Amino acid sequence: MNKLNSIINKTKEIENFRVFDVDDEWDLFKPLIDQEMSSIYDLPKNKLQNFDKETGRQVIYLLSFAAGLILIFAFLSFFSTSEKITDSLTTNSAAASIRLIDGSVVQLHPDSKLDFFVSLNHAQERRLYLKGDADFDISASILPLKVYHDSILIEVLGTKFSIKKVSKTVEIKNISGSVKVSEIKRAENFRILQSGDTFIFSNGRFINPADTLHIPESTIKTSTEKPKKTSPTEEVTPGSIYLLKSVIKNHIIKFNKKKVKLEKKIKLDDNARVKLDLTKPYLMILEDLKKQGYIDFKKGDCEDCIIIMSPNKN
Amino acid sequence: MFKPFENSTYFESVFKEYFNPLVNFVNKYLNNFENSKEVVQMTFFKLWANRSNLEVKTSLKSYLYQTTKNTMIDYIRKNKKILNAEEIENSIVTELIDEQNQNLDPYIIRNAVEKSLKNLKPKAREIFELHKFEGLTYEEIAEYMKISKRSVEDNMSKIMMFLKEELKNHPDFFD
Repeated sequence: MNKLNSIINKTKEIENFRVFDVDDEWDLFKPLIDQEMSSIYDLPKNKLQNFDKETGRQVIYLLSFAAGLILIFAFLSFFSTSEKITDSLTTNSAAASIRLIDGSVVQLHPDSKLDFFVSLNHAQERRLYLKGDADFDISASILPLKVYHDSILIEVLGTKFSIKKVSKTVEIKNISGSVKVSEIKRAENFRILQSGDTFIFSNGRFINPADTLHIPESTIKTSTEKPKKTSPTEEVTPGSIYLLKSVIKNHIIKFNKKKVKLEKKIKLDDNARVKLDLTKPYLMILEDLKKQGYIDFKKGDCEDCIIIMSPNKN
Repeated sequence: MFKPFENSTYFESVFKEYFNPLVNFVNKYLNNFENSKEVVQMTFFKLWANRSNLEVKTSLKSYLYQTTKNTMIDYIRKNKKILNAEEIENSIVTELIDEQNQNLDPYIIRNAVEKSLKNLKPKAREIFELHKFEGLTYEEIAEYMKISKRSVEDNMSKIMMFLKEELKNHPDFFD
């Protein structure tokens, strides 16, 4: 008992001794070492996961690369076949004839060159590029045919026509069907050639050679007879014949929307055909139409505004 | 060489046996039980982390005491501002380093006694604590508790018999 007393007496110096529940303390401490244990045991697993991730990533890269290569190959193969959709024919001293894949026939004159299509797969139109002269016999097709020649564009569906270059001018002669000829830089500058029409394109203007022939005749007629203002077509006017309605709607109004308006109560002869030179400024065209008695016009509210009215019958 | 903590069950038993003595030992210097518990947890964590390389050449008790002391010195140095111990750091550390003669025994005994006392009735436990830990005489206890001196003596006699029986198999007693 004395020994126990002496042992207990040793603890007298300990102040404020506190006893904690060691089971609770162990429960608090255990997660720390569990975490450390799991981090050790999970190391190979982590490595495996990393390996799997890296491998997966590499596989994805490889697949992406392969897919890219396939796409590039397909792209190139597509264009390598589609590249060969045109060919060219050049003539020196002798003319040459070629039948195109659509059945159209082109007679290429000497010293000329034609770039033509050899395939129409995926094509939206038939395109020909001509330098020099050629006669065309175009087969009818749902694909419009376009002939690019210097600064003009000829659009047809099925027709016979010829293109001839003389010095700086280009002569387009339409034999059958209809042809639309326009200036490439100014699409609004166009002519519709009916069967037998011939136009010469020179310095941005379309000239109908027939006009120069008819003018003197008209002039002769008008010089011997009284002018009839009620018959405007009889007046001598250089240019081509167009539908009045078409000229006003598709030429005057379309390209001068802000400046030219139609009067609400206007009454025009829809079937009237007028002879005009559409290369002139629109005001001059309006003056010509007024002179021919098809329309009248007055100044609008704003500056430079024009209101087209019905012709003054008086 | 003895590698005590390779068995996790044994490690758990060591933790539970020495946690309270070590915490109270550390608290003597830090005077903060939460910080003291943190130091002891750090000590056991260190032991667990190095269990494969850990070789105990002396007794486990001495090893724990030394490791806890070193951990506490590091803790004080790293947490000077938190502990507000900057001024006393040098003296505590010096004292700890020089504390060659002291060991965990008083804390282990106290812990064992405290555990045994929990099996006593509150009145008997209070009589024992007032006498053994607070240093009151039997007369002072009798007066304080409004009981006779004889009753105090009887209670103390029974308690000592009980403790002797309780602690007789404890490795730190009666060796």
